[in-house]
This record gives sequence, structure tokens and C-alpha cells, in this order.
Amino acid sequence: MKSIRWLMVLPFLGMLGGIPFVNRVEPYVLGMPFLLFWLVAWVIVTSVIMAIVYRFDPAVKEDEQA
Amino acid sequence: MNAALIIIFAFLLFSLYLGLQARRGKDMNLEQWTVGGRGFGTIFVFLLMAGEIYTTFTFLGGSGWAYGKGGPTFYIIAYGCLAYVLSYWMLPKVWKYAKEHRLMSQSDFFARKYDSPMLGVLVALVGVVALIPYLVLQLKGLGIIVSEASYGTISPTAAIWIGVLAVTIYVMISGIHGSAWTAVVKDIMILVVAVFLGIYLPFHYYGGIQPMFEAVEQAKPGFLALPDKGMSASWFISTVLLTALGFYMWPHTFGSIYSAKSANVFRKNAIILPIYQLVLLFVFFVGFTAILQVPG
Repeated sequence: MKSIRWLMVLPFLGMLGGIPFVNRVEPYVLGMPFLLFWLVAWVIVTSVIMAIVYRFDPAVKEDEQA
Repeated sequence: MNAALIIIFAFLLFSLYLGLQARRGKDMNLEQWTVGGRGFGTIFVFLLMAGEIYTTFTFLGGSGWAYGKGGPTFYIIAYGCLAYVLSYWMLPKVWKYAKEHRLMSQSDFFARKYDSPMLGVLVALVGVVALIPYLVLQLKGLGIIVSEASYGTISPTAAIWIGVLAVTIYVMISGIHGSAWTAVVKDIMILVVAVFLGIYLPFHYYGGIQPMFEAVEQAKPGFLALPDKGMSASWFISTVLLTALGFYMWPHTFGSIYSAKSANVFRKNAIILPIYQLVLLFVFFVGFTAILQVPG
């Protein structure tokens, strides 16, 4: 399941590729301007993605045994 | 002697004490001193990295940018987050190589890996040259903070001298253990203070975070997004990418990679560090609150 690492491409696409489309102040979400909300949401998604990758990456188990 | 001075000196002594006691129970040799005997677990590496990454710049600069530049400030959240994604596969590789060859510094890595002592020298030189303005910036920040916090009783110059002396003493004696231990206090204090101010100030002046942003937007339309020219969307993308790629190139950050006890330490940190970044939000809120309250 080394291919699970490909998930790590998503934060780059979301945070960088999404910018031209979300560069606006309104609507406010959770009190934040939309651009800020978008980035904060991706920070949280990134953390979840990293946790998923950690769970399934075979390299983690190899290093645990070593 | 006012209360502010007592607090400042109490914290100075406390961090000096922590920095010095960090040495206890360790047979100090070069490997212990520089890279903590390669024995730091997830939490210690987290504290060390958080201590190194979230500095005076982050807190003065983060709110300063929010105040002066608005939307472009958000790039700070983005580049850190992406750098931690990169760290997941980059740091374990660097760490393994360093452990295998018992490396101590960033220039060791390049000299050994590319089998070129000259490259090692070059990397060391570039590192030092880059660190000088960085240190000046951090120390200037320290001077401003201490002199403001002491209502001017301690001059910025005196504050810098005292700070530098304290750091030099505990680093000489305890090495990286000292830095990691003082980072514990710093990280906790910063977290508490930033979250408190970031919530208290917008609520005090505007009755909430969204009303604060709405007031700023009304006074300066578009200030909370990226402008069309200058710090535009394309500036954002290229700067975030560049900064994320160079994130671990600082000699001190690169060196602290060596202190971990296993490769999985970094993989776990890649989960925690993005979330920890969100403390920056509160720093931004402080800066945005100041726009209309302290104009000019």
C-alpha cells in the first residue's frame, strides 16, 4: 500500500491549485473570510490525510520493527 | 521594581534553570551536546521543532503582516502545512543517512552524501550568512518585546544582551537538551497568550471574530483577500511552494532532525504539526483587530 502516499498530493492541489478560485472575502465561514477558511480547512484535511498515510504506509511498520 | 519586571526576570531565571538542569543525568559528549544522543521521541522533537519554527518573527511578523498587508498573511499557514507534508518522506531519509554515518551538522550531510568537503564548507558558509540577518531579526524582536513589556525600564539593547547571555550559558552547558527544555515553557506560554489575546481582543472591540472581519472589510474592501496585483494569487502560489521547499534548509532545523530516535518520529509529527499551525490564526486575529483600533 505504498501508493497511499499519493494522498499527500492533495494538500498541494487544494492549497495552491484552489487559490485562484477561492480568493474572496465572502461568504464568511466560521467567522473567517472565505480565503482564510479555505486554508484552515485544508490544514485540518492535511492532518487527517497524514494520519491516514501513517496508518497504512508499510514503511512505518518496517521502521517500528527495525 | 514593578510587577512587569518581576515577571520578566522570573521567566528569565526559570528558563535559565530549565536550560541548565537539562544536562542532568547525561554523559556530555559531542553527540549528546549537538544531537541529544539521537534519542528524542515524538514529543521532544515536536517541542524542539515548534520552538524553532514559531519564533519572534512568527508572532510579531504574523500580526504585523495581518495589520499591514491583510490577505497575503495567510500564506504563512499554507507554507508550513505543505512543508510538513514534505517532511513525511524527506526527514526520515535524512535522519537514516545521518544516523548511519554519525553526522552532527547540516554541512556534514552534504560533505558526506556528495563526497565533497568543499560542498560541506560552502553549505556551512551559506548557513552562517543566512543566520546572521535571521538572528538580528529575532534579537531585535526580543528587544522590542522586552522593552515594551517592561514599560521601557529595560532598554532593547540591555534586553538583547541579557537574552543572548542566558541562551549562550545554557546552550554551552546543556547543548540541544537546553534548547528543547526551554522550548517547553515557550511553546506553552505562547499558546496560552496567543489564544487568549486572539479571542479576547476581537470580542472586546467588536463582539466577535466575524464582526471584526466585517468591519475591516467595510473599511478596506478586499483587504482580507489577495490583491489583483503584487501579492496576487500567483505570488501566493509561487511563494508558498518556494518557502515550503526550503523550510528545512535552516541549519538549526536541519540539525534538529538528527536528534530523533526513530524515523517514525517525523511521520507522527507530520500529523500534529499542521494542526499546531492553527495557533497562528489567533496571532492574525490580533493584527486584524488592531487595523481599525490603532490606525496608522
